[in-house]
Amino acid sequence: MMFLFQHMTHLRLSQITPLRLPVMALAIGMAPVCAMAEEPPAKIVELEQISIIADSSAQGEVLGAANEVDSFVLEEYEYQDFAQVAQRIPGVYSREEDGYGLRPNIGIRGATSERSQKITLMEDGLLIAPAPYAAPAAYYFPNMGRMSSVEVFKGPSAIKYGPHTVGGAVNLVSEPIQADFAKLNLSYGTDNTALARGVFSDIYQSESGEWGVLFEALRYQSDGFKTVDNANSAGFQRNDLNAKLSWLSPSTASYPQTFLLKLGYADEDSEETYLGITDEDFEQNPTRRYAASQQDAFETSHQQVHAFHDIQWSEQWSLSTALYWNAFARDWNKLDGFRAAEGLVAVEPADVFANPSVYSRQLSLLKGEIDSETTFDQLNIVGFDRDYYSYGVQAQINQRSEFSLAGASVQSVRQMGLRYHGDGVERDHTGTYYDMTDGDLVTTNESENFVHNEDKAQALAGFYFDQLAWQDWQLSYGLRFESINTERTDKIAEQTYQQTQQVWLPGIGLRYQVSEALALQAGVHRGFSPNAASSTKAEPETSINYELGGALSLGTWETQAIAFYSDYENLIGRCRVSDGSSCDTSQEYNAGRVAIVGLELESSAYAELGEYLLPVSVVYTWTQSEFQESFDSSFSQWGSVEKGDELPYLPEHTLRLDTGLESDVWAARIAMNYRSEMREIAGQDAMNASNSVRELTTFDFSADYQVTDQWLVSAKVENIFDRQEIVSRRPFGARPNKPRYFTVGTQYEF
Amino acid sequence: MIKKKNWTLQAASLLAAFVVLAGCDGGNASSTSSKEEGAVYLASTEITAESLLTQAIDEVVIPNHVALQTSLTRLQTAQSAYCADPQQASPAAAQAAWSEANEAVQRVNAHPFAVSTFIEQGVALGARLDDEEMIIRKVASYCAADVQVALQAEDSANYSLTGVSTLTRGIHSLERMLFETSYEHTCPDSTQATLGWNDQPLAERQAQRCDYATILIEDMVSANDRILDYWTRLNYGSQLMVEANQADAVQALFESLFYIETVKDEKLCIPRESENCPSDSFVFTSAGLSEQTYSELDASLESLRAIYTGDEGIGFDDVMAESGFQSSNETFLTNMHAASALINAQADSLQAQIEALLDAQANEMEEGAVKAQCANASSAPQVATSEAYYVPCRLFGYLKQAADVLKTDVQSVLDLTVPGTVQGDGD
Repeated sequence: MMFLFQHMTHLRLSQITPLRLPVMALAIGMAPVCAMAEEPPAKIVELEQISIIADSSAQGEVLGAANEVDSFVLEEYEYQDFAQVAQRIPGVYSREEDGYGLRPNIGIRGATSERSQKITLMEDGLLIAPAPYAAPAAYYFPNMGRMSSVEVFKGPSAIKYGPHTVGGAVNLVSEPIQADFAKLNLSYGTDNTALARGVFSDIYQSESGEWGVLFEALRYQSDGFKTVDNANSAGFQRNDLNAKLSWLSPSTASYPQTFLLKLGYADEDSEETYLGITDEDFEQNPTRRYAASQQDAFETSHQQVHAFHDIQWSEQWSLSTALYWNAFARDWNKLDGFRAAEGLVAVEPADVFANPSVYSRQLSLLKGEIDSETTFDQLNIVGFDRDYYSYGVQAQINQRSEFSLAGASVQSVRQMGLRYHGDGVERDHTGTYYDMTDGDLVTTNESENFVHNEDKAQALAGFYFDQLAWQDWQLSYGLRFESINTERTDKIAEQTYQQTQQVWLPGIGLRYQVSEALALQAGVHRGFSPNAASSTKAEPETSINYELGGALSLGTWETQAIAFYSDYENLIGRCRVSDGSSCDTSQEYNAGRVAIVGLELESSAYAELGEYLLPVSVVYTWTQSEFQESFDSSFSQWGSVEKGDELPYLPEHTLRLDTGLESDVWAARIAMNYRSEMREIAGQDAMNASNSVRELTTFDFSADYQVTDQWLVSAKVENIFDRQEIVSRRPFGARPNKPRYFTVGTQYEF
Repeated sequence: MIKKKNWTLQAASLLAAFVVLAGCDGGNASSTSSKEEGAVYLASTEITAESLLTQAIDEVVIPNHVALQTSLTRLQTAQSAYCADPQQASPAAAQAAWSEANEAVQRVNAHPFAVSTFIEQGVALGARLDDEEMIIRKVASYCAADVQVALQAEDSANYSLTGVSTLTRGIHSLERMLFETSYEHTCPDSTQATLGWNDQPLAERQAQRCDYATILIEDMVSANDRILDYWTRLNYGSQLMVEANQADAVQALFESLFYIETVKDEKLCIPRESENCPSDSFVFTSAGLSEQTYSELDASLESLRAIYTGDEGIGFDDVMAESGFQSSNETFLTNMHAASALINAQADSLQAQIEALLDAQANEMEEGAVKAQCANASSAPQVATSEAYYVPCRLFGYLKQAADVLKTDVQSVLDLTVPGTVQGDGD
């Protein structure tokens, strides 16, 4: 697909020594429309392809707001947590969970961030969530360490990247194939956190064409910053192996073609838990973990096979095709609650944290302060064993044309895409009961299988998209179609039910280049987020999304502001184990009409101070939300909702400030991240400790020094002032952000 | 978080009713409270299923078990003193202690809600509690108790109540050990265990009964301690506070109020149709020896009122009042109080009154006249009767009128289910 051409572009650019320029997260929409008109496509490397921004020549073809965080920006802080990367993109929210971003919770323009279930998550333009239709929660998230850039599509631009179009899409772009390239990254930091990554890539010329290979290995590990009572660490280990093989047809070929095969394997072994602590204990020691989480461990393996093919029939026509297959298996053994007294529903940790005075005994058991004496004192450690798969084939025809209108040229870029996708998950959840004895968990060897089901989905999606450029005007319009069939089989109850969803999603955008410096844009599109296969009660999530904004470019100062308004016809909430409530896991809930309004602002500039550069950038998002209806919900994040209540976990303000000083051989940077207080349950009353988490401001610092042309050394401090706050009380109790974190690293390019 | 909102009674699944009521205006709530005179209405407390259950557990159930614990300790002391020399010592102190303990047992018997419901659901814990609860609830079988007295005397070192029928344990078996003046067993000659028991010296038989009484009291102490331990240290009540369990728990609490039916139909059954009475005239074996049945009844009624009113806190009466059914509260409580007042006004025991009633029935000039008068007294209990032996009939009437409120108004307003055993009792 398009990224392959991007790789080829990188191949050529790699011959150029990269300048240390303050490349910030520029809005794609900021590129002047005239750029496209002035540079008609002539080479295959500039072909229009699906899903990937690729290079600047394509930027003008993005319908609506889109952002890219490129490799230069990613390398500034080398964040391994996507949530930290997301701070540099307006309109993107995250809810911290483990502090390392092992399973980030990402939302866009108010779409819920939990498990990134409401965004279309892609790697190299292909759906990468374990089962994006049948079970959209993204328990797999690629390592940021192997990504070269991040692209985010919001608003009307999202309609090309379903199934979730309400918020938008995130595309992670992997390391491209380059000629004669090898790189070794090593870093080591607080809590024995270490990252090692090696990349070898080369391109070989032959009569049959240009062959490229890439091998990549990554190891990321840490002892973790939390300490488990009566146990050791709460760390993780991640491995990631990837290989690519590419072929580019000879330049003499009548129909230029490219082919790329990508193979990937990743695994993770982490001692992650859903169990938090009480606010009181958080005040004493925010990195404490209770004894009841001693057995918690998350093990995964992920395999992927992606194949891409592009062919250009003429300067006007090209075809891009991709096949993909992903398999993901996870076994999350973790505390789920207490054993139920027979005939009763068990006490859950969320009950304990919500009302510790009522559940004082259970709290003492979680802490390991007392021993289990009854069956309902026993702790239920559940193996949440799930096997996911997804596969698909997608094709896209691209056509460029030009005609005259009122004496002026009109350039048209048409895209027609079709995707057949299948995915599914089999859940096998078995609980084992443990006694808390002398502060340790001791198995009773009694187990119970309480969930065994299988969800499947098959989806046919297509879109038509046309972009017309005429003088200073650019009109983009498109239409997406999704037809989804899902099936849930409960293997314990021996019940099966199916559902079908079909939807048409139009979108339109208009941009006017007022002057060389100023552009205005507006767009509207229909948003959609399908029901998961498990849904029996909810309607699909639908909305009408509007955006209006402009971009200003004055010398080195570039600014873009976009206001957005999402008018939900129906918002759905999805109960997950991580929701921490007694709602039925994977069940969905209707919230009816919801309105979300916001403003995205990003601005960057740099000053030249002799031989130094002083870059400055600001990324700010303001968001307001309101339920438009009153209702009662057993979805704990909503509860008893009154019209006018605000959505939970949606901060009103997020702000990222970046600045630094850079020379040809060294750079030092500092960044401030601010997130205002967030509600943890829908409401409109004043926020306090019982219904919200406090605002959080952290500062990060990084510095690097180019010892030689090949050798770079770096140092970084995250959360300089060691600010520790509760970032969420879900699933079960208060959880902290990552404390102050030092790391030193080196990078050597061979 | 529960917020204010409009509500309708018809909406009314149980928890929804509580959520709805929780949103009602507190000021109005206090003005329509149905609390008994002198009650302090907790205007600042929301009426929820959780608050209702918490109040019942913390202010009724646990205090009653604590009181029973205290009473049993006193009984243990008094019984030990008596049994140190049963031939010479007066049993009066032990009997008085038994009476106090019996009333405490009756207060506990009124709220087996966390037990009976779970027994029905086959709860392992409930089953254990069931055994222990039954020990302090069931009426004794005298012969069965006599058999156990003989068995424990035969091999006291290895004797254990484990597995022994609940009919031979508990407060009423103990009553026989302390109040029975006859030291003859009540078993037929074919009963192997008691063969020759009557032939033993009186002192030996007294000692054996004392020994068995000691075992029975220890058994009750153990059972009550264990129940109390579940409610307190093991925090069993928190299991009921789980949102998904609250509806069942409130239903169980509601069902416990129907102990009033047990009182009415079993302890006051004599004046009614014979087929409604348990065999062997329950009334005579429920504190029949001590003739303390009225005290039992009054203790039960006191406890039932406490459950209904939440012992001055959040109770069913608050839900009813908030729902506009204050008159139902008044009907229920007026009848319950009237029944207690009537009991406390009696100089004779229930047993004596019933025997008088049966005598009158046997000697009546016109067949059915006594029965008709009793029926009239039951239908209009507020009307005083000329003969004291119609008091049980009036009591029956008061309790029926109170129970009818539960079966109709309370059940309807809270969308609860009347226990199956009560629904078709023909009242």
